[in-house]
Amino acid sequence: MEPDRELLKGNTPTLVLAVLRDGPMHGYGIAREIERRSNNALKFKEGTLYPALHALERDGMISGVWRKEPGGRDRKIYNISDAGRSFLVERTSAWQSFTTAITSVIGGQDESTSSTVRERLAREFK
Amino acid sequence: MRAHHQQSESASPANSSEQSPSTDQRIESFLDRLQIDTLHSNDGTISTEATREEMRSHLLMLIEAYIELGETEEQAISSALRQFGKESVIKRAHLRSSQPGDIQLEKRTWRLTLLGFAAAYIMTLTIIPMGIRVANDTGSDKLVMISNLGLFGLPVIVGLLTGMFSDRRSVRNSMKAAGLMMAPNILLDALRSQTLGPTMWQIGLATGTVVFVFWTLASMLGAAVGAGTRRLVKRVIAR
Repeated sequence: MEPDRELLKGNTPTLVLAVLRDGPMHGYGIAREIERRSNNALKFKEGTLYPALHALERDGMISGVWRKEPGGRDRKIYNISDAGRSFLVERTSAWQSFTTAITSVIGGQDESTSSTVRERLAREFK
Repeated sequence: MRAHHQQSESASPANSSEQSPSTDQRIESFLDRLQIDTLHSNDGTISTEATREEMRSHLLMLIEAYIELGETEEQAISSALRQFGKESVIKRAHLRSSQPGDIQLEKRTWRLTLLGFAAAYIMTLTIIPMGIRVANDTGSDKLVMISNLGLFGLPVIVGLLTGMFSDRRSVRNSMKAAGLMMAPNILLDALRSQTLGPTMWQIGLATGTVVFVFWTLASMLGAAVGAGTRRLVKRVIAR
């Protein structure tokens, strides 16, 4: 199932930072890496990656340097900054708390837990 | 992307000069339609030409990948442009990112909080000695009391303002900013007290620490009250 587009939009900076945490990369590489890590579940229009990258660069979360590749083409390679790393830690923690809370509400518990709860309720309301 | 084609850093994309005129033309026409120059903010951090080159390079890599998957050049261009996104979608994303986002808001809030506590600290340093001097001259204790109230009241006031006017993390920001301002003061108090006697630095250190703790707690209390007031006002307005 494809994730909600709005959810993806709001989290693009976090995804970008998570990819860059593991090494410098250009925009195209970042898009491919997000696809690879999500098993092709996270797909987005790749042109929208650049506004996110530039906003992160403007905020000092990442820095970009132009590098000449062996084929002769210049590519902008992005690196995560210390501020970006700290921000990623915060966002990761916030995201984990959020997903845990949502999962608890919508019922992410496993089948055995559900059946135990069901049995207990059945006993109590007998 | 239909197939994964991880691009290694050493793998070289096709140079633009190697592309056919048709590819160049369609990419340039697409980039023209994007009107990158109108999308950029005027802060001058990223040039229009740099963004254009970055996007061009991305599109060429996509085209190359689609050709590797067996598409004709024309098909590959269409697939790459589709995957890159419509002009309107990219324009909207640019517009969204040019608005102050979470990161900017947090940075702005932190800067303002720090500025507020720096001002409060400077005022404290000015008010208290002034109050004591005037009190000594006039023989009145009232000014000493007022200046002490300033010392105790300023972090509460700044914290209160932080809580009322910042969207998030006001308590934590206040604590950090107040602590940052007051931490060197512990050392300053110790050094200042040492001039009064050989063992006086310990008293100075203790006084500095008490003031540090007080300032930090007072600022947090102020911020918590401010944030609570803000929430209350918002709730009343919402009704």
